[in-house]
Amino acid sequence: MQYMLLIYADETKTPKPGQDNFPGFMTDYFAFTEKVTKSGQFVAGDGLSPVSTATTVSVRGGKTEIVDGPFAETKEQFGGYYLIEAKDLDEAASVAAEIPTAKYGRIEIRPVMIYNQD
Amino acid sequence: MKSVQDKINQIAKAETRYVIASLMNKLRDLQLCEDSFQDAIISALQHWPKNGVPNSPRAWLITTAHRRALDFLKRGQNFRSKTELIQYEVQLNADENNLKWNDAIENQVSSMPNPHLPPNSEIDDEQLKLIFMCCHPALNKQAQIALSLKIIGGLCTEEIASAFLTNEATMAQRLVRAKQKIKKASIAFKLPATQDLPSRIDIILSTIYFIYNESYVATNSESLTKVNLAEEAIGLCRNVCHFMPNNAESKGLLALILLQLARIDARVDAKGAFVPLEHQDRNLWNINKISEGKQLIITALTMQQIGKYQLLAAINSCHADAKNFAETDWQQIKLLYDQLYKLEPSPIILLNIIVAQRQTDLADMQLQEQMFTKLSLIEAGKKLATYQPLFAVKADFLIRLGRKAEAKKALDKAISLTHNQIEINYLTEKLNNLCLH
Repeated sequence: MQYMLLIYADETKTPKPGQDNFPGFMTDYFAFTEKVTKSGQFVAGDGLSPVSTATTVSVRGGKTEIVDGPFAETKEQFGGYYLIEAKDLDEAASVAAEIPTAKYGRIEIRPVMIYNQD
Repeated sequence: MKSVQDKINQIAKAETRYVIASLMNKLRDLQLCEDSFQDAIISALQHWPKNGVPNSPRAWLITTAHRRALDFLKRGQNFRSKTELIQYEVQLNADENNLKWNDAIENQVSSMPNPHLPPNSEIDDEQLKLIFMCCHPALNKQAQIALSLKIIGGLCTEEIASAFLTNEATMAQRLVRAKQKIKKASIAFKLPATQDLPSRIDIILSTIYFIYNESYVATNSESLTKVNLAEEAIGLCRNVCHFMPNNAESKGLLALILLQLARIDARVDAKGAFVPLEHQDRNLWNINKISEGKQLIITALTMQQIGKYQLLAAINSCHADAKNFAETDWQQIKLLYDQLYKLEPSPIILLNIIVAQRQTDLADMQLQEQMFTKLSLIEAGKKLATYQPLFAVKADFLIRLGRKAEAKKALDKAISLTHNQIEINYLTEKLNNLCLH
């Protein structure tokens, strides 16, 4: 069995670099990651860039539609994910458009956080 | 001294897109590009009044901005970009190997062929990439508009904010978000794939049309803005036409804007009251804009890629051709709206079809009744329940049909749906006239 743990939080409350509580926050995360890695439970994990960087792709009538923002309709639930390598957003969007669910659902694209980028 | 500064500001506005495009080609970080460009401008403000404006301000600004960008990168503690940084510097040095940078670059650059100025076709490509980036579908419309005006139009944040009747902090925030999105989501500085081109061009054109329409709002709200959004929209559209000469819709949009704008002086009378097309003094229409618009639409239509902007421009061209309101070719206008409806079936276009058909023979009461029935169907459809023109048109019909009491009700409704004071005044006067007779 594999489980994907989705971390939901109010972004405005998440400690940011430069804030007093940031170092402790990161230390806790490193410790958690180390713990689950040592226990053999860890498969893959990443932080995501903020929702303001999200893009949503859907395919209707064979046409790919790309819009700004996360997909936030509560009627549909998060059902799976792929972690892919793409050279830019256009490439990621064209891969996303090929996911079968895109024809009736929507695929939210979130860039994986690069920690040394400001 | 003052005049040099004015000249520098003018150059800065015109050269923004060239400098940013050149930087984006190497750096992919729009914020960094803008900061470097700003620094280059500050440098120009220091040196040009003393040494004179260089022969090629663009080359000077591009070279200086690249150097500033390198400084920014060196000062930053971005470990990830260390190798990129070295590559960037090596390339800069190679490009400039004939120039001794530490001796006053300001004196030398202008007279030398600039290694950062690519041949024309490459400049065209860079400019297109910049436009496509600013209007990427992964950015929301507000962001596309703000970025287009800032990066391509070369306006400053304060100017954009005032044009959109918002404060500078809000606009700055919007721009920062957009730039972050471009960087973090890796919205590429590149031309879209061929199959994506039509939809991507659509987005650019709709952004420009939005900017143009916003100029009406700004004008009508009687705000004094330094920026003429209509002129900015024309500038952006000319740009797109220039870089995509084979695209008919961009010509159509430019024609549409010019033909509509040609009538702007006739839309408001000396007292500031709204004058509808019917009563406009056609001598006030701008002949130059009309003739350019007509020329453009003729060229566009021969390209055989029909689209909504071309159809709208053709409709406006019909109005421009008529000596007076009575001589308008309503039959032709109706046919053009019919075509538009095929492309974009919306109740608003249906309303326009009804209006055009009604005008073909105002004396034919049977036709008037017939069209009024169609109008009632649109109203019953409820989709235009808050669309002011529907009720203004309805009032016109009812006046024609001699149903005064209902006409008054329709006008009341139209007034309640308008926020624009000039239009409210116009409708109120109409209502008052109706009460007098």
